[in-house]
Amino acid sequence: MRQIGMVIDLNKCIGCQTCTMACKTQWTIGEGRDYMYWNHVETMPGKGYPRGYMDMKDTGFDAKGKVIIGDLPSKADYGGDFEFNYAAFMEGKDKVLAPTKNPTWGPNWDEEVGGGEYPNNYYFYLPRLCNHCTNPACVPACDVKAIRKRDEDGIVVIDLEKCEGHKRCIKACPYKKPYFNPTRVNPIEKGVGQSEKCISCFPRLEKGIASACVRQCVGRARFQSYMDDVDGPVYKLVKKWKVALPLMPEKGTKPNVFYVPPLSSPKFDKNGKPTDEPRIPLAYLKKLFGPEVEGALKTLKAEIDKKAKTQPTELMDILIAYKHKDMMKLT
Amino acid sequence: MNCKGNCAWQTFENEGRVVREEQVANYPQIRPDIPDANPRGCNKGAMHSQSLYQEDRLLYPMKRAGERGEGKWKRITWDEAYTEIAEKLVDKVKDGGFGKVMMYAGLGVLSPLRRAAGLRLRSLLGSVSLNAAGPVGDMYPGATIVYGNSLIGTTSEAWYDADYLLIMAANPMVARLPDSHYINEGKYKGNRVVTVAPDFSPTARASSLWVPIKIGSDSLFMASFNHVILKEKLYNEAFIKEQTDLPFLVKAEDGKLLRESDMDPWGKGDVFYFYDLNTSKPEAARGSMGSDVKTIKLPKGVNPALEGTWTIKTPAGKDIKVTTAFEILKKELDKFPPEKTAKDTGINPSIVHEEARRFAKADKALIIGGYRTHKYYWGVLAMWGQAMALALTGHGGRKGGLDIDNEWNLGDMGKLSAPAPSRGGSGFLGDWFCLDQKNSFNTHYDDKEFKDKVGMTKDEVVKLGEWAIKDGGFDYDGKPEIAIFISDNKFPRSAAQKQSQDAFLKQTEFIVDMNIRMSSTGRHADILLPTLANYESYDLRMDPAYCRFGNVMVPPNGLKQQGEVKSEWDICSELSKKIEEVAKRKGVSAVEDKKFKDPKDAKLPFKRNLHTIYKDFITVDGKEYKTEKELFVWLTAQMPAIKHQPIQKTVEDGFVVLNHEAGQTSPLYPDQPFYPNEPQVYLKKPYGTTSGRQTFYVDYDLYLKLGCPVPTGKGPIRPSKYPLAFFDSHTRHGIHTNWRTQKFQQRLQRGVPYICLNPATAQKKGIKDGDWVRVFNDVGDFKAMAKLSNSIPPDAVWTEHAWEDIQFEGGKGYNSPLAGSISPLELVGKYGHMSAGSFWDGNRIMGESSVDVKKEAKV
Repeated sequence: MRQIGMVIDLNKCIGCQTCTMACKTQWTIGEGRDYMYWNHVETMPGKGYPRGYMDMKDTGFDAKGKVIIGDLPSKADYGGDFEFNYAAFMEGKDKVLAPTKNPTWGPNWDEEVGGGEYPNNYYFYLPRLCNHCTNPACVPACDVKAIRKRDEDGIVVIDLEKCEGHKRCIKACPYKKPYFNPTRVNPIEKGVGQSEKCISCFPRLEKGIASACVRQCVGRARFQSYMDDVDGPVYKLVKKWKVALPLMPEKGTKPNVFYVPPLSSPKFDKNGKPTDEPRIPLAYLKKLFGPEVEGALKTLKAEIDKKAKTQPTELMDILIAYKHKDMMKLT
Repeated sequence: MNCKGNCAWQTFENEGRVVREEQVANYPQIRPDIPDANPRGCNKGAMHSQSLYQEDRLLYPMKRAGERGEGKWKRITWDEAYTEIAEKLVDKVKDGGFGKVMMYAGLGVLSPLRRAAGLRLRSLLGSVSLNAAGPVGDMYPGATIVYGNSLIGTTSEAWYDADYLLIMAANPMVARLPDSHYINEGKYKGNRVVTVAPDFSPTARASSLWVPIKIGSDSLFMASFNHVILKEKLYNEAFIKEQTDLPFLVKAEDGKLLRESDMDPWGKGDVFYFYDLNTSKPEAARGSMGSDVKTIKLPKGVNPALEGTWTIKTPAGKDIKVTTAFEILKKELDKFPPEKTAKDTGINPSIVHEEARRFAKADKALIIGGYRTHKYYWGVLAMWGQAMALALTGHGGRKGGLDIDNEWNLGDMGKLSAPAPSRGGSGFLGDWFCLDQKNSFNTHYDDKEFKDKVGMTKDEVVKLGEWAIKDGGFDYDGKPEIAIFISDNKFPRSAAQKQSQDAFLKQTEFIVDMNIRMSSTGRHADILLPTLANYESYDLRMDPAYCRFGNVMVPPNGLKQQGEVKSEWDICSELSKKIEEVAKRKGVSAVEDKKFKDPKDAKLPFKRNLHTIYKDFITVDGKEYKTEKELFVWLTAQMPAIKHQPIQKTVEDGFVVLNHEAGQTSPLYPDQPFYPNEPQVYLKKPYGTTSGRQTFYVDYDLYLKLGCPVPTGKGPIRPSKYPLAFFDSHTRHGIHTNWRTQKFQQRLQRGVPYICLNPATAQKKGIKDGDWVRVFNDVGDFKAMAKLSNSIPPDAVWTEHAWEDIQFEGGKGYNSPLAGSISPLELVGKYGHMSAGSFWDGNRIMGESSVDVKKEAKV
């Protein structure tokens, strides 16, 4: 089986949500999908979307390797699908153009809030989508075997001929990236509701075009190539240079979306003088990306120093990405 | 999207509708060691297809059917709309009242052809169009002082190329989305990026160092920065002597520059002197406006003194004691060691010392000076100081410079936008007077406190404003009685928004809004006219010059027209036809416009012939153009920067790489990032200033009186009677108010307008995240949701710029508590290159109001 992989460089992600919009126009407008963001960008530290997904109990696998069916986020934990009173406003019935219901949460609710105290506060953007895991929790979680990994690219897909909308995939996924579509009628039980999720834009990949969120990333933060392609940017960043890491590796799903961790500017001492300490605490990054994050940050710094001295460095050349097309290698 | 980003999108059509879009992303790389520009296009573009079909799109001409602002409308035909507008216009101008009509092409339509339609009609009709930058605070007079031009900037490739970036009052990580990757990629190359900002903005976050500055103290920071450069002798003497006026001689007795007219009663007022160390004599500097020699190159063997005091003798035998501008600068900046300004800027002195050294040492240093700079009272000083830091350290030409707003050469657009003598108007003063903004100015600022901070009384400032339009050369035609807005959203951006809006509505008999969607301004109009969206139009975008690509707009094949929308060109030409018809019916033909002279006989006033206005409108270069598409061909054929590529190929590719003729302040080279002022730095051509050099000494009386003939530092003027500073910055979820009410943008925020408070400040006031709060002061108030964020300093309230007023309860928008004000440093009249015009207009001040916040129940 081949596996498609993605690297998102958090030092280049600018939180602009172009990926979110590119994904939405391509896949999730209307038909019960409005609240779904197969791809979204959240500010960290933060509760994320769905709200508190990282703290939801019992996801991933138990000690024996059996998948755990965990919490189901409530509708309120998602938010992000509120409608506006355009028609009533245009007719003069309503005086204020506003959501028809008071919004309480959404995929980017805590934009730029983060943690720490001014002026030693910190935040960064974390784009999230289905990790198309090598050991996906959703596959064994599904009791009707509707979820599988495609042989040709390892993309995890839900078979809508089989899905009966039991929501076990959503409960099992530590990243909460399958979504329940209450408007879909499942063909088996004729019941209402099925799960849907990111399909890594496989119809595009099959034509050699990168996923919408990758190709349209205006921050030039995303790379996409097959994991076994040693010349591809993903292999190089993940395997060779070891600067790209999965989110919450302890969950054991072996994600195929990897993040280059964020470097940060110095903290200030009590007199406002910059110190040697980065403002994002290392302990926090370890919590997200595991202990290997320390080495990854060290490598990044060392290679930036080399580049500054105009010494050759393959790593910086890849991350700078002189040619946009080189960020996506799909053959 | 009417953004300055200028990005090419490929649209996908299905059953007559645009269903989605994707960036073209085929721009060629300019050099192997500089990252390419792909893809250009952000979240607004990626979702623009949805904006076309949102229910707030205007689809039919409509007439108000209730009270103004009530939101009741009646559908009318285009002919009915044209007839009503034409009747009103003809009646208003038949006795010469051209200046009573405002026809305002706003920032919602930036592409040149679409924009020109409205400008053309206002030119033929003699209506007023204010300078569009002033009312939004986007003028750069601080740069004009220095270079004689405020369209100074680089292409964004320079953000990668330069090894030191100082970013002030700018937030490119939000406002320059398609360009910002160059900053991040530059950091991987080892560039140092330093952002000075009161909030931990997305740009501050992405920087090598964030300098958390107290709000409104940027000029103090620059004064200390320059203090260090001077004290530690980090400066480049050769550059200063050749490129700046700092060696110029200044008379000790009155601080005025020594001019040829001091030496010789027949001498010129714009020839200046430096002291030549080799001959020990004053020497007239070349290249000034009055100089016969059009170069700033120093003659061989001449060495201007930077320091010293001399007594020189005029030919008439009079002794004049002189020193240099550089000496005066040094003396002034002696007052600003970083240790002394730290209290006011909040910046640890070690940062200023360290960064000034790194900046001076950098091979190429850029200062990205943002549109926020001049929204503070002393913005002129802040930007003037930035330019000086660059000049002192020799960062000019390809060694760096000021990056504010580069523009490409569009060819002779005047043929299209100004076929007749046109009524311009000062943007900032236009708003100040039209909207009675001195009321909120007088309310908000305390007499004594203001005088202590500014050095003038409030009354003196108000009088200065009156002088500016009477004798200072700033154009103002009085309050408009008819207003036609063309994709302009006047109300939300106005200081003291509610008061300003009420004043405008009271005085303006008739308001027309031409727009793609319902805006806060349209809500208060009498007639609404629906226009085409970008995806439905023919046009070309190649300015401003952040990138080197001209992008064409061509509707996708098979696109179905919605409702009765029309292009701006169609609307304005059909309206001109109706004006002609009505004028003929009413027997109004050629009307004298006394403000302008007859081009054939200067003794006679100019005549505007309403009987030929339709033909005059559609005739360009002697040929008739009835549709936007036909005109598109004319437009693309006349632009020198794109002529090298057949238009068919440009349409096919979606873009054209501009040729060398695009550059205005330097040539555009195919393999070099664009830097301004190369002709001055390398070819020694004079700058467009009175001195012919970068100007850092201004002996204008008011500048001398206020103690700032050189770029010095002054603190914020916001009143102390309310505890919190009120400031805002651009949003990434809209382009000004454009697309601000788009559903998909709002879903990625909170759906309602919000303000940000530091959690400690909020706690003291019992405010929690998500609570509804009222922001208020003695000017006005508005209600919004509170968001708590440690990115905001504890002494401030922050909100995003450009919410629509219609998103707020009672229509009280986010600018309601903002006091109107004008800065004396911008009220300079007729001082050489600092004279009212396209490079010299002032700004609305929007960072100098104080507010308080209280919790409020949601009604």
